[in-house]
Amino acid sequence: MDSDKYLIPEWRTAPFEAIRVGMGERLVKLGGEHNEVVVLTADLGESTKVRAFADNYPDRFFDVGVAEQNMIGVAVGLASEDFVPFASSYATFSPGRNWEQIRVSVCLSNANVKIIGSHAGVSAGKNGPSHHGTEDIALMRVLPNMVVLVPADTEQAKAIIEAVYNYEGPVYIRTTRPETPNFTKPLKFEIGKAYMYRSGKDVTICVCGIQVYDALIVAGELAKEGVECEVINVSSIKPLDAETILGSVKKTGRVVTIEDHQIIGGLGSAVAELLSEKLPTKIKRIGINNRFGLSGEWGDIYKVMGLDRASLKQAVIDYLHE
Amino acid sequence: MTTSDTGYTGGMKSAQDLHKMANRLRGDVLEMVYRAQAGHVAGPLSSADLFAVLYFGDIVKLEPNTPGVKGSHTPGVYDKVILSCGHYCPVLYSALARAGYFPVEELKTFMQIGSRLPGHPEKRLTPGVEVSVGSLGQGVSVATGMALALKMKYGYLPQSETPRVYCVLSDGELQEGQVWEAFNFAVRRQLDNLIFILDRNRIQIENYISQLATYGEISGRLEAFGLYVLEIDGNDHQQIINSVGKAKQVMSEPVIIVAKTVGGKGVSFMENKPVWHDKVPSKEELLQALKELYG
Repeated sequence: MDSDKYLIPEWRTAPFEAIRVGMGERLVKLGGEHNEVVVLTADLGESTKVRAFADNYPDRFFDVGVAEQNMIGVAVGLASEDFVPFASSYATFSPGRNWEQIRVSVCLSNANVKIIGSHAGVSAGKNGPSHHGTEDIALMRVLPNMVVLVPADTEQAKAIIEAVYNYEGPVYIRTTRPETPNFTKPLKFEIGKAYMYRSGKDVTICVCGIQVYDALIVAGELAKEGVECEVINVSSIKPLDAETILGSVKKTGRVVTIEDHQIIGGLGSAVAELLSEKLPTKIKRIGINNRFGLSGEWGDIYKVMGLDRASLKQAVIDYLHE
Repeated sequence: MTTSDTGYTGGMKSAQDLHKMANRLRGDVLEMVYRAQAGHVAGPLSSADLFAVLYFGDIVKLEPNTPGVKGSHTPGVYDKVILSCGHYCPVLYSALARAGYFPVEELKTFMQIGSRLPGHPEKRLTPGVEVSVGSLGQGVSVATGMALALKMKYGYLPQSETPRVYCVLSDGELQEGQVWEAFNFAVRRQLDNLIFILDRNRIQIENYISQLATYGEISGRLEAFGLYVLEIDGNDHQQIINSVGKAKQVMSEPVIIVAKTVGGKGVSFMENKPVWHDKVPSKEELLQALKELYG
């Protein structure tokens, strides 16, 4: 079972931790290992959990104030002098508000700038749609030179920070607000590789972020009903692991994508683009369908928007019966 | 105080030489734009004196003719010149070529397929270009980050020896909010190794700036943001040299030199006319302009 390779043995009862917390902790460690690592934020150091870096390395932490556009330019200036900047804010503001700065200053210069967008997706909860980063994957995926990574839990976020440091070039890392199961093993992360967490013959589920765990639970429930799902954690949305995805879909002939993001331009689009060119397959994209989220507890928002486990399960069943 | 701080240039670069060089840059700009049948004119011409001083005035410690292929990752301690208003690039390219960063002959390839001299500057393409620009305001932030980085790396040096970042921006560019974000940051971080040079030529693509934006007394606004402001005639080489010398002595504050210039400077029929912001000269206009510039 692939789960043994990637998941902790007690993954079904894994402890909860917010991905942003793990990310923040690993950044502190990285700062201790490498003097050239610097962290920037736009007045959101505490909630994006990079404040711990400031406590440890105040000389290498820059809160630029509420000015996301300038934050990116300053990061590019630092990178041009061989610093390795990680710029952190809410995904809706960065890369939302400063998209064009990222396009020209970062990507056209191919600058070694790492962008962390926290509070991504409607799981950001009560602050409402203005604060839900639900288009960030699309915005970053379209940019030349940009890598787009979505950790599924805290442990993977830590491995991603390590991999991103060792990669030279622009990277976007998407993190989330709520406490979610920390269920994967501490393993090396490879940019451009998708990880198969469960194998199955009936349907391929491509999923990213905190919903990877939900997909595994749903797959377990569906197995009891005789449906074997292959669950692939597509943490590397760009570059996309075509080999793993195509290999799976060749076997199952069916594919569902799940993301807390607009289905226009996100993971679902990336997979659909791949399949339509290489292996035309009828696909079901689950996510946010051309609408905004709403305020509330994130679990409730997921129910309203069809992103909770019951809805995911039903959507897979409906798709298989189409 | 070094000799260059006083404006004394030791006879190496007399004002006359700089005047000739500035007009040489202007001539290059017009020939490049004519050949490409595209590009901007008024700003590159208004700022040619600024670029002549930056690259040939012996006041900026430039990395000697090192192709910037691997970005600006240099072991030595050098100043940086950042052009933020990317549409001024013909004058930057001309200055870089004549300073030896690449062959002058290459200026003929401006905006052509396969050229290292694209329509707006791109890092890793053109030797001597530190960052990709073209969208107004962005270079100002990058220059600010670069000044911060140089402070972090060379903060142990005396202030007079700290490498500096010279950032040329245009007055139309001030309409971008990002510029003011960067000013706030530069002031807050006391980046006294950061010298902005504002090409105040008073025209932008559609009109005179005063018809589009209400700057009022521009220096007052800049001062209110906490910048140390020096106002000069930006087409007077001696004033440019003197102001940079003064700027280097300012402690704890970023400096902005408000260089009042004439759009289209040096060519009688181009001066102070917004239409020349990005107009391509005809063959006759080019020849007339070159005659005026080279006498």
